[in-house]
Amino acid sequence: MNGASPLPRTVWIALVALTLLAYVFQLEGLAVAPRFVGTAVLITAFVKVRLIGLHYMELKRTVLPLRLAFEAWVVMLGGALITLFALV
Amino acid sequence: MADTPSEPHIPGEPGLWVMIFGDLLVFSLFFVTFATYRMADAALFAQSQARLNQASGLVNTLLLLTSSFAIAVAVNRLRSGEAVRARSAANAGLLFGAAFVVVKLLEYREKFLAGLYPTTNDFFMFYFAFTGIHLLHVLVGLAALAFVRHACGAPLTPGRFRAVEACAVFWHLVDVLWVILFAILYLHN
Amino acid sequence: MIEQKICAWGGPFCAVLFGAGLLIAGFVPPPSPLLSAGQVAAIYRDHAMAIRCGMILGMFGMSGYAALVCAISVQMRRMRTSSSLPADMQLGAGAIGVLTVMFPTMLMAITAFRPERDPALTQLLNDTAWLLIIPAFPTFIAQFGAIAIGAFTDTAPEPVFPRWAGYLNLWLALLFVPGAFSYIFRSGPFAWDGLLAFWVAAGAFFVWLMTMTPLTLKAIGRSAA
Repeated sequence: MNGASPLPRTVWIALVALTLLAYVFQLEGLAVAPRFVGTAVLITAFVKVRLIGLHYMELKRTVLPLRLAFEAWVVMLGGALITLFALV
Repeated sequence: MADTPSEPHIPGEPGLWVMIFGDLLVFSLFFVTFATYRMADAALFAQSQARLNQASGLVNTLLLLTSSFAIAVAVNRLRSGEAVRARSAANAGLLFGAAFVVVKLLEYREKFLAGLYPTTNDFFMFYFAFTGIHLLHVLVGLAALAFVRHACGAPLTPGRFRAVEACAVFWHLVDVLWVILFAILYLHN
Repeated sequence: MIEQKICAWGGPFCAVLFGAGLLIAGFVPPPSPLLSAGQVAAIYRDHAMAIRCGMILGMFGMSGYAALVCAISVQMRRMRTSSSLPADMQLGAGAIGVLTVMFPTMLMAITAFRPERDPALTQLLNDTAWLLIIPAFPTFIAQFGAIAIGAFTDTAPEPVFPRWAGYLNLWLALLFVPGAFSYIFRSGPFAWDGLLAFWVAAGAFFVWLMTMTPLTLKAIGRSAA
């Protein structure tokens, strides 16, 4: 294994923690600030997506164009969804 | 493709990424379509979403994340020549993946029993269609994982290892798509 | 060689003629499944001649599709695979695919043949035609999947198709699947005139035609050398 990359287990712990965090957060926070919770849920999802892409799909160590294409996709889709969901 | 000396490795093979990004693009179209329809009737979407079973969505997310983790471990172990331990990780990946299918089918059953069908309203149209197409991906992915498991037992040629990597990448794609589906279908209100 | 090349050009031939046929008939996008029987009957009455001529053109285009399918399989026979399964499956599924497109095209022409009939019958024929063509994904999965299997398992030093072509075929096959939902929905993206069931699937069909022709021409050129 490459010393620079975190272990799959570390990534898994982060993913599960983010999942549970978003879940509890939207249960507790909905009544207070629904729009804020919605945006936070989406941001968490795309952070998870990026973690899976970089570490499990191993895009962190790949050729630059491939990594950039993935990062661009995350930013573009994430940005589009967050905007579209925040509008209404 | 580029063969630079510092070995930035392309997981699977270059051609694989035509399909991976193609799939990401199609699902992006799905998600944006969903967001656009939601804007037309946010109240209906919110109130339909409340009828989904968040717990089973959460369980399924954890199952897929764990399955992805197991497959990442399996690939790493194969890479370092630990075929037997790779096989047990692949088995775990398969098991968690199969459990996802069971939970999903139970969830569909629950929806049908509650009188919720794809034609109930626009939200359930998307819910059934998107999760259905995703479930198709899961089934294809399970076949890919079965291949990974099989590869752990046979002598590993470079071509075979490339195929294992491609299967793993596809399985992680299935995971990625579910993470977004879970957020927009089950959580976002 | 030249006869194979002519057949490979069936791809653009089909794309142009089938596309033109749909446009002339006014079927881009298709008439909505929400229309009443009277409205559907009015479309077939008012555009009877355009629909008949467009469908004749579209049917003509499908001969190009059949030719391309055969040219692909002739090249796939050269693949070094453990059996001729990929080439045979491509040919078999592709041949049936011709039918699932041609038959509804004929039905649309038939619907326009006697538009003065009871509107309910015209609606039935129109429903039948669109619900034959849009959800017809299975043969395409088998056909494109066969090309993918061939591209992946070909062990020749100079493979017939590049491996990315295999992945592209798998992806394009997937784009036909949402069409299956057109049995269920009368409006929205999965209806037969919707974004995902019509536009994406039709787009995939045209992309397939336009990429498989140059790939096949290249393979033919290599086999000649």
